[in-house]
Amino acid sequence: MPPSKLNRAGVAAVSSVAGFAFVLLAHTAGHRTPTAPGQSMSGPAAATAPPSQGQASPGPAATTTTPATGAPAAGGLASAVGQNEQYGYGVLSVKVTVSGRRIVDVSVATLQTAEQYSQSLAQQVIPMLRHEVLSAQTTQVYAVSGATYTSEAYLYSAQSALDKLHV
Amino acid sequence: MSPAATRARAPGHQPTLAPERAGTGLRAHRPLPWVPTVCSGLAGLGFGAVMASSITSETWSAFRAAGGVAIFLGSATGMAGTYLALLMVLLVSRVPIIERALGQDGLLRWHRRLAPWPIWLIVAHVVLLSVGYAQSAHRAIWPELGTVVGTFPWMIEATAAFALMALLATISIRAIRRRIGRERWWALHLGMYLALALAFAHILVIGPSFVNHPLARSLWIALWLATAGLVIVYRFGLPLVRSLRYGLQVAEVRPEAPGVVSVICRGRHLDRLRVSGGQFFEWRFLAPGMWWQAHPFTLSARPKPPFLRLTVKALGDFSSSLAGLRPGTKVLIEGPYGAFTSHARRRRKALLIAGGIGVTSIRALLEDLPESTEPVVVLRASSSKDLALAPEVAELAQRRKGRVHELVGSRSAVKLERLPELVPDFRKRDLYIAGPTEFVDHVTNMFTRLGVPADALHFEAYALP
Amino acid sequence: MALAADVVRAEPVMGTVVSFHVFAGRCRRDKTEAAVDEACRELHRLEAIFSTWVADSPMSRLRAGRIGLDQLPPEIPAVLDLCRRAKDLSGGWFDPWAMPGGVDPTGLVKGWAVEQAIGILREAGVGAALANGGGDIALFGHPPDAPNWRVGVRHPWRSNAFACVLEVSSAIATSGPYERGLHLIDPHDGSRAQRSASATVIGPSLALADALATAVAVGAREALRVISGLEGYGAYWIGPDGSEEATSGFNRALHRAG
Repeated sequence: MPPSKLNRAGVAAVSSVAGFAFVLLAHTAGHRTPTAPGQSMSGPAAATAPPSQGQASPGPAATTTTPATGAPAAGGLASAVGQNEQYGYGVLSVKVTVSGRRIVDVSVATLQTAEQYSQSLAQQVIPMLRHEVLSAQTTQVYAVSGATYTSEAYLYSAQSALDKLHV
Repeated sequence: MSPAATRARAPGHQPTLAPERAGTGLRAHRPLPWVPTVCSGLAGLGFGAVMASSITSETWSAFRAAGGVAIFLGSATGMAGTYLALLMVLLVSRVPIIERALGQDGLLRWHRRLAPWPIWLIVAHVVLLSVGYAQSAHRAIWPELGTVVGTFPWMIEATAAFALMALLATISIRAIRRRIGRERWWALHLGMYLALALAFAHILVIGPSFVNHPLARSLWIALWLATAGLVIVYRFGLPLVRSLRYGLQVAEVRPEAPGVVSVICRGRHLDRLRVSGGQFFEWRFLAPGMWWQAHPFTLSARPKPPFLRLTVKALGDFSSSLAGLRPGTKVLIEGPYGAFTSHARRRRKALLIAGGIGVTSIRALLEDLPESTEPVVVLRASSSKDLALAPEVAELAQRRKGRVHELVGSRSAVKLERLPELVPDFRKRDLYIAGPTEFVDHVTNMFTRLGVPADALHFEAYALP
Repeated sequence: MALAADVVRAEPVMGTVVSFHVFAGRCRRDKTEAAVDEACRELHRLEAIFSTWVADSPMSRLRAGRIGLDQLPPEIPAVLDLCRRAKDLSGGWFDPWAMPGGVDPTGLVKGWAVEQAIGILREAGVGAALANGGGDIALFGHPPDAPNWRVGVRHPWRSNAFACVLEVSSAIATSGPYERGLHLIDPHDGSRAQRSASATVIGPSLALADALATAVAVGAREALRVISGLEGYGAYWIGPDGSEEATSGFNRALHRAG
């Protein structure tokens, strides 16, 4: 007896689930190392806040600290990381530091590129002048040339940080 | 209107192409019963894996961000649509073990049934990603679309692929397709290969499932290369090799009945051609105005080296022009295809029912049936003049100690519902039904209602152009 | 990671954020702060003059032909003179007069404005300062603990990485299609330029560097050849396929990282 059509549909359905489960399991098993896509990246000019802080919760997340990055020793400073905003090719969040009612620092806390786009290109990029790509974490710079975020994303995030600080 | 007539025809005519004894010549290999199940399983595994890869490549923060949901769904629909397109290509890749197991009409049915899915999924892919990227960039859709197409790699090619696919999908809408004509539509719709090739690079380079996943990328490339290889070998290479090997030429064109002609071809090495009665070839006659289209026609007899015969009813422009073929015209073939063969038998005895020109496959099939099948053949035609090949069928049946019923007359005069009465033991038989789609559907439904199980029903329907 | 400075300020202005990193040097702390305040005020004042987004700014009125030459604030003729120079120096690849909708010096104004702002800090006697207007950077002096200001050039396809790092003494500007889409227009045929992934120019004047970076982004290798003949300027170009080219003036500024 040949397998009936229902049987074939059943086989296809069951094996779909099996294939799905297999890839998911293989992914979780092989994903213990933190190099997979989707890792958060701190921006070049960022005061590198751990991404989890930036993404934590949409609720109030204001912290009152003295930033480790220096800045004027003007006593109690408050800083907050704004909401993640998509800026076209990734996620950006802005960290705002205030002293009293005055903004003393605005920096990029999280700059996560849309991995489907930028990482793929990074892989196929012909080695740059230095035959290596310098990572933002290993080379200290004062500024980045060409780092124009869309001002909307920047301002949205900055505004949400200010809202958290009740400035 | 001629009255309905049911009579057994006595042998006596002597056809030029005398029926062979059963068992001579090479028959097509037996289909492997596990093939459809294994293929369904593999297709399912792949689908599950592709869908899972869309999920594993997503990150929670990207999903939660503005436009994240649309971007995720856009990627997933793109992957699902492309995978189903791959299955569609595989379904028509003419791989012999799949061909034999499901038959080409079965494969084409699946190909057609599947077709709307990849189209709509890829439309969803384009719409969702446009919306998603616009949301994420806080921009309007059109300027964002311009940026995405202009700056992302391989997006110009992908856009062209989508435009081509949308165009081909549009001309596949039944009303438009009918106006274009089957052959022209078919030639145009091969443009889908180009669309898939154009879209290939952007999937690999920016598809979230593949970026940073060298293994997934390699598997995907291997899968498509293998598919392309199968298409090249079995759709183009093998038919060419076979055509060159057999070197077929038209030997004679002979009228069989009003509007029905037999084309007899002469060739080399036909004793080595593996074919079963009931199978068909795609025929391409290298004559002016005809060479660019190939058409499926059933062999109306097993090969009788050095001859091969097909019998065709003039239904469209192409089949009408066959009557004018000159002897010596070169012929290219692709095949044999089809699962309407004696391999499909599940019972000892057989009942063969031919509507109109369906007699061609029934005639050839009968040659493959052993005497033990006690074949009963039913031929249906609107007038006795239209009974093509009837003498040959009668002789073949008689040699197998079987019998032939001819149901001749107009649709109102012939009651097909009386057919079961002619063969009271039909429940013990395999039923082979060939003819126009409407006839096949009618007869199949009738026997299904009478309790004949699906595995005893074998049918071959000729679509009218 | 960004390094600390005595005064750090980020001012949302001109559709982007201009950030200042200032080392006071021998200048008093409150004077330094006051100088940064003044620099920010100057940026807002210039924005009000040059904005093409504000309908009644002098620049918009000039574009619409609704202002007499005698009513123009002096900054506009000064900038248009600079534009003419930049057009000559770039061999025509930078051409504000070829923009749709009338003369549009936007490709130069931001750099010029940041240059004016950094000029205020210099005149105030501040030790060292860097002003970064959305990636167009003007600076002077050097940080107390380093012989030079180090500036990264944004990697065109990885916003968390640099294509290279430079030691800059005066100005650097980078132009490219990323993030803002295709905002560069080819003066020769009005088309949206797609011939570059990134174009960077360093040199003494940020106004000119800004304009020349736009020129290289539009004119690709052809424009690069023109720039290579300019004394004091260096340029670095990355093509859409990742190929790259730099002038000798640029290579001299490369930071030899250890």
